[in-house]
Amino acid sequence: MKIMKITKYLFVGLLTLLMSLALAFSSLAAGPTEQIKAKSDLVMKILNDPALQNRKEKRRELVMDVVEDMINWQEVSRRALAIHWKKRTPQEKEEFTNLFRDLLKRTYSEKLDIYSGEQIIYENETIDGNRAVVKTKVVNKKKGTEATVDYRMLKKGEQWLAYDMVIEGISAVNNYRVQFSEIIASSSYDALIKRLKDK
Amino acid sequence: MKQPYFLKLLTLVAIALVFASVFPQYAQSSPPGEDIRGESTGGDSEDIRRMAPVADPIPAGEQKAIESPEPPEVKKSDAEAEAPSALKSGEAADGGVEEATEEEEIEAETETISDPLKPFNHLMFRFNDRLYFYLLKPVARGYKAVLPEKVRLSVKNALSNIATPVRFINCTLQGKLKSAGTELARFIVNTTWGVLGLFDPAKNSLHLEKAQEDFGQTLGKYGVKEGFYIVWPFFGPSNLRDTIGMTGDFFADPLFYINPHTDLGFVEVNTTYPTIGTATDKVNETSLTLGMYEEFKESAIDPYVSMRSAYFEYRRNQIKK
Repeated sequence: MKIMKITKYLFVGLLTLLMSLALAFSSLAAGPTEQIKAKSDLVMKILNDPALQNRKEKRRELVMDVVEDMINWQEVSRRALAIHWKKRTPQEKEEFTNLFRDLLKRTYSEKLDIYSGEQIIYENETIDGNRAVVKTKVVNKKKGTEATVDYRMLKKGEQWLAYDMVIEGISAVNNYRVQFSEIIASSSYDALIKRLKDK
Repeated sequence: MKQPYFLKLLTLVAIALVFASVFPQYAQSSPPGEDIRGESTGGDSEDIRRMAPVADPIPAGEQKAIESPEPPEVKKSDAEAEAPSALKSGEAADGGVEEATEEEEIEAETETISDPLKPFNHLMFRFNDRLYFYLLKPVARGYKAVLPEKVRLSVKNALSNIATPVRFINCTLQGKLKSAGTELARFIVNTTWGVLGLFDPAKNSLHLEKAQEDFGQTLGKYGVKEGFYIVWPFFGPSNLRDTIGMTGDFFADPLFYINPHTDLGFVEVNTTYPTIGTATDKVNETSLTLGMYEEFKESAIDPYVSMRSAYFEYRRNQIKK
């Protein structure tokens, strides 16, 4: 009996070791889904942390840190400015990227204030060279609502970084691009920068 | 008293149809005259645009796609195919073509939205915005305080169950017979087992998913152009096609045909119940999504443009499904 128990524990121990090893190796070359999942799990952990329930400011900060290295900010900015990106000097590009990053991080972390127990279901991923799309579903079982959320990703070195989030068919980058180009067309690039700063 | 309301609806449709026939160019995605402006995409054209008082500024990206005016009979799905070809001339004018494939991909997503009613729409957008903050939100908060979430979810289920004919008809019209069957099954299951639709066992136990189809989508499937953007007071963002669709769906709403006083005469439909139904739905839905509109506004640089773009992208995506 005792021997059986010991072998059972040994077996379980070995299995855990193997599994953690496999996990460690897979994270070395994390695919797009793993990358999104790892970051989303971190965000979920922060959101479900009872100690942070009443400390919204702290919670936002922690979420913002996770988001920071999940996204390819330059790619996001380049796509959002589209044809206007090429006309900007390197300094202007950097200034714009920083302003836009601050806005996105802030609004994303604020969005999570209305989080109420949603779960993420990973549907599938498609990889095409250095680009990938990770399709997910955000489900709220209690409310019976669900929304499709697709992450568009780009491989930078060995890491997959997101450059767009498509919620129910609405691309965030596309939405900003239309807003930006309309502001630039009706007034000027400087006016856009001013509005980003004021926001 | 009830007839004028019905007549108003008819007038609305009539006006929309007349408008579409008088200004067919607006009924398409591309507004007229844009090709003149769209031709110059060079660096200094921006200055020209800045100086000229443009009543309806269209983003530079959009102008490119507009360059090649498409014949009216071309279907919507061709708009995407048209974008890259229109792009090339724009790229050439721009000077650099190094990142052709990358840029092409970016521009291919560029949308074409016509918004000739912008001043009116802007006003209505602001009206709806105030309506939300000063009326809808306080009412929804009070409603939320009185009714627990479970009850409010049941109200939502019941109203959605009543509206089954709308989805059933549109599934059928779109040839989605399997979805139409699912809708019928959902209605039977939820009306009986789900106690008059208060619960959704069809989804929770039988995994029968609701098919979110409406007449606007049906028209889109048949190749009807979306037309220009319209913001309706109370109802919010729409376009010419979806306005006609919304009116059509109104008549598929069974609440319309509940009339305790008269026979089921077509003209003597009673608007009391649909009005109550719509208002309840609006308040109920708002109580379940409080904070979302605020978040949307917070994330946008120009909420009006953001909502317009989101509306068109969302609808185009729905029609593709």
